[in-house]
Amino acid sequence: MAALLEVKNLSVTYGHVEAVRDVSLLVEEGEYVSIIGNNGAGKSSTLKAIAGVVKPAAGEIVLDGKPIAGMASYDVVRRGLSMVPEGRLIFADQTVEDNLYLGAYSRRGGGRSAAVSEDLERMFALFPILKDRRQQLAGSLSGGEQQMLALSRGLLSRPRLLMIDEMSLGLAPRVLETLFPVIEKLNRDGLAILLVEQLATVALRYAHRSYVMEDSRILLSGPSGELASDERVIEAYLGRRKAS
Amino acid sequence: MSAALQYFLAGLGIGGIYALVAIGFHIMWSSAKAVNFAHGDTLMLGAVLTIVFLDHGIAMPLAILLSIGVAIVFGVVLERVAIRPFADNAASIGWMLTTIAIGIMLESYATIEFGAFARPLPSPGVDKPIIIFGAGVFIQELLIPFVAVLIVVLLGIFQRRTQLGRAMRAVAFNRVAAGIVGINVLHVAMFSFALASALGGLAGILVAPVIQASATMGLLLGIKGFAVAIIGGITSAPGVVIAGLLYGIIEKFVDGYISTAAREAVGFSLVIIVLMLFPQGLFGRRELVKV
Ligand SMILES: Nc1ncnc2c1ncn2[C@@H]1O[C@H](COP(=O)(O)OP(=O)(O)OP(=O)(O)O)[C@@H](O)[C@H]1O
Ligand SMILES: [Mg+2]
Repeated sequence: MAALLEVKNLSVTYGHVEAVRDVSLLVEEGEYVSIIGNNGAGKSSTLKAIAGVVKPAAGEIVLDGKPIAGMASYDVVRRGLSMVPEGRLIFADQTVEDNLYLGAYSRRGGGRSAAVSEDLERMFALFPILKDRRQQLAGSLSGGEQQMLALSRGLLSRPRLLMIDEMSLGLAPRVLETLFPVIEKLNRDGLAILLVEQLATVALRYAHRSYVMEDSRILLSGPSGELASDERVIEAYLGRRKAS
Repeated sequence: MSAALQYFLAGLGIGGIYALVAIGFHIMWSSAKAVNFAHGDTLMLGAVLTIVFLDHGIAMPLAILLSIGVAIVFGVVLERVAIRPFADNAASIGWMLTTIAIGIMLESYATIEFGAFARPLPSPGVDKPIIIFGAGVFIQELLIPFVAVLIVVLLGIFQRRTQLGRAMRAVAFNRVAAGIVGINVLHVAMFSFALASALGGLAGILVAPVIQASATMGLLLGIKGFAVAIIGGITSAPGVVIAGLLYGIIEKFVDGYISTAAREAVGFSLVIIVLMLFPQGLFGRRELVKV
């Protein structure tokens, strides 16, 4: 397997706050990777730096063999890396359909090509509720529907790697039970996933490999199954003692 | 009765200009979260250049197109040198000073080149007034609000049907979200300033036959257009057009029933009262300014 995304010694600072320090991580082609960690650990900042939303203070980011560190976000998405941001950031004052067309903005031909229409139908197949709501303002959707829209919008750029930040935020368990299997299916179809998640149990269940972030650094990494039985992870993130 | 109708129709004419100016402010604010205080001078540029081109024997349609072209270039350059340098820092208000400075410089330069007097721009729309129920009105005065309404309708269609239009709304809503779907915010800002300036130049050309063109005509039109944009709610294109037309009509009624001297006092008092009651403007929505 070849590395699709390689991050080396990444640092992100906001003024004097060092949000990410010396972080290195890897996502292979088609892999499902998660980053777990507590509030303020630097997970979102890591994703934002990779997506070009914030400029890294130091470090290398290589996508598909090409350096992308410091590149603007609109260029990064053209190279096949798409982010579903924390808080979703859907365009609340536009319709569901317009949000989806905007998801295809980076593609050649933009909105009205046949390929984009096909992909829209694919999204409606994944999330049928979006089809019913397609002419509705995105801001009027429920939290779960908004997350579906944010995911669909992220997919419409046809990424090879989808980064999802805090998908579970504010959503009912019932909604998550429909969302996580969809991500898993996308991954089985070949899409690489980098998932940032506070719900460590869920992240470790689905991701092949995981990184544990604490105080701006990577504390641990490894196959999710191994991390799930690691004492430190169990105590700090899974919120239960190992049965003994 | 015919006097009231007279004021109403004349008010629509001048209100249409305020509306057109305010649409420009709306478009520029949406893309850059900045106010171009030289926008009034874009009107002046359109009006004065058209007269200058006519003086040089250029035919009217070409003179109009050339003037709007220059207005577009002016807007695009202004965005580069006076707005963009401050775009990275949401807390910076440097654009206030730079756009005011550029407006003053342009006005001075126009005074030197064009002279310090007002000149009419000929138009078939002001040949002779048409009479509606005893009120006399020039076609030109009816044309202006029509154009303003037409433009806000076309803008709405453009923003719902095209990727560039959707991108304009996306940038207005959230620049980070716009960036991650692949929108180059700077390109959208450039396009928005070009569009706003084209509409500004057009507004100048439309109003010049009615109020005459001069190097200083931009100042008051710009300020009133800005006031209208604020009370209408700068985030809403239909809102600023409605506010513009209302403002023009109220002005003409004050003109007619009280006095011309009272016009600005009453007008701006209304602006202040509306803002106290509706801080986001009549039709605006609250903007989250993330620093
Ligand atoms: N724009 C910003 N300006 C200043 N400090 C910031 C900014 N964004 C994040 N930080 C700080 O950087 C640190 C890391 O934040 P980040 O959002 O990356 O953490 P996180 O792991 O995603 O947390 P959460 O689980 O709460 O989303 C925090 O201390 C946060 O306060
Ligand atoms: Mg976060």
